[in-house]
Amino acid sequence: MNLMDVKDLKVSFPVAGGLFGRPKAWIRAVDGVSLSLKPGETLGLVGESGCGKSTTARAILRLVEPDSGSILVDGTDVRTLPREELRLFRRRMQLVMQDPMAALDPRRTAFQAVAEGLEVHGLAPRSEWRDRVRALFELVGLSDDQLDRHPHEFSGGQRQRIGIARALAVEPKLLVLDEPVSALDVSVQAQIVNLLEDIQERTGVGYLFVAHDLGVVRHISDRIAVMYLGRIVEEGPAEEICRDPRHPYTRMLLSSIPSMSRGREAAVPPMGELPSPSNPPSGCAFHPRCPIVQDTCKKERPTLLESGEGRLCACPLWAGTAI
Amino acid sequence: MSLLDVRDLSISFRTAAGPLHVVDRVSFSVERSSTLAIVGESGCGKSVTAQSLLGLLPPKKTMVSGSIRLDDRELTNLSFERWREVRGRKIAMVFQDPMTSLNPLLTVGAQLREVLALHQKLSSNALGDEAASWLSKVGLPDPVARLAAYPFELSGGMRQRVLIALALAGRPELLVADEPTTALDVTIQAQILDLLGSLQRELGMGMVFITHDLGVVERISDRIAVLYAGRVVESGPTEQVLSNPSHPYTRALLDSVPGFRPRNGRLASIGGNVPSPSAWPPGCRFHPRCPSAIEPCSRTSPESVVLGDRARACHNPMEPRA
Repeated sequence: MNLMDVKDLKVSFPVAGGLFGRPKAWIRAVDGVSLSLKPGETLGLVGESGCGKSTTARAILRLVEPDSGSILVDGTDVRTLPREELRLFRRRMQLVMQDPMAALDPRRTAFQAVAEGLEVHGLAPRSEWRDRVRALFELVGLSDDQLDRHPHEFSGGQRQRIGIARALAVEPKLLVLDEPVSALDVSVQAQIVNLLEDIQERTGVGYLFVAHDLGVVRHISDRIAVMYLGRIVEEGPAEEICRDPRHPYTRMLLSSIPSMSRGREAAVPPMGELPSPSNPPSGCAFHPRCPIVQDTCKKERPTLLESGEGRLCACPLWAGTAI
Repeated sequence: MSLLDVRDLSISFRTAAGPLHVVDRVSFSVERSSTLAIVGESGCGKSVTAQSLLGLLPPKKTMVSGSIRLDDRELTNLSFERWREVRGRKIAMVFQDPMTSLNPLLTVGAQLREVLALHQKLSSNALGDEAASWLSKVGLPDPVARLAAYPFELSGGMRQRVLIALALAGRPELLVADEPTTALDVTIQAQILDLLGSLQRELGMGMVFITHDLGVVERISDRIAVLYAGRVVESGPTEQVLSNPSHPYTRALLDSVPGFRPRNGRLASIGGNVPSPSAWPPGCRFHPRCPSAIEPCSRTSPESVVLGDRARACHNPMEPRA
């Protein structure tokens, strides 16, 4: 059984305006996304800023309410859970955010931050908190004497370790990581990526890893889903996606990354910018930037179709088109 | 003679707790039509170095020593008035965040015309034409209409293009770019890097490119200077340094970037954290994190050793990788 099954997820945001801030229009940020994740695996979700990847992650945790679609996590239908049950179910799915300074309460010590989940979910008597937190600190590579320090006394990488310990305190099955290493220096990034891999090996937790950096995502993910303007355009095993990208957008993305594009510099010269979701292009949303665009692309919206063993691609032209 | 020659540049901040030495005897040079990348992690002093090249550090709060020569003219002792002749005309800068660097209350055209008018005497009509031609030069679609746009109406990538036009409008000989693509998406970053490269070929300017991204370094620069804790630990032609780093820090940095080398299990991470200027370690500042530290590293600071085109400051340099 899959740890996570998301089907046809749609999320919209109101555009405020008009008298008394009544919504003038709605922007569809996530437009029919389906994703699945096996226990102990990592699914990387990549795309440019504004593509809807963070909204997708938040909707799965129901931090924003989806319009429609189904979300199954660990066999439970998250989308229809009533408030109180949802609160209890959050034990099974946790979030690690990008900016660990903003994610931690500056007035509470690292111990208090990590123990909060134990308290909320009643997982251990107060007398055991200290030992539990100490064990979590060891797991994430922090030392005992740092338990009673405040967030400002830690470096960025250490704060992210606290954020991870806090999420792990309630023993979740699914960890949603939203750009967890983007704010860190490269040398520290590698420490956190290695730590996440170790934790997965030891606890079997599944990761939904949201990031814009394909280098990091390629390294940590078993599978990668590429998102463009609210939709998944390509999905498949991480190495295959990076070695043999099929959707023209994935190719453009890969040839944009200096360190991953050696030898194919001119594969797909990046051009144009991500259009606004308030006014999406007709047909295939990528067509204004696509180097192999055809007339049909402007009219018909392509569907995500199987393009080989375990791979999906939302471009009917991928086969037989040399780029 | 080099376009820019920086020798033994040291910068300290005056603080209540005494001087904070953030940059320590840094030397590098930049040739015409070529690009030097200054690479390092946060807190290594790379942005402060960039700002000192344009005399942007507050004089009351900072102490700068050493020499910065541009076209054989010493910049470190220039008066405020003299600096005005140099900035924009001789040396210009592009910053990381294009939103805070533009005036939100003025149209793009007004800001560009202001800069152009400082550098050349032109009629109002000619100024407008010149402004539009700069916007088209930096690849903004529909430049004439864009002159009337306010910064908030432009995307991040377009704002960065406008900033580049503003910086280059005085036809400077040297452009200092401080993480100009860090805030942008990768597809936009690639476009901006291409743009800077083609403008450099067209205008023949030298460029100092500050970044933490080794992939960007590889794509844009001819030479590289790796900064760690306020010191240059290694410098040389980009290709040679990246393919065969001789300082352990450079190699560790290369190995810790996922995707830079083929995936082979774990990332080689560097233990510990980037030290802060208030607590630089003694001796070689990298020694507490260095996998190849030997006995003298913790006591004496290694001097820079020049070997042909390259230089390094290390007691125990790496053997060339097979």
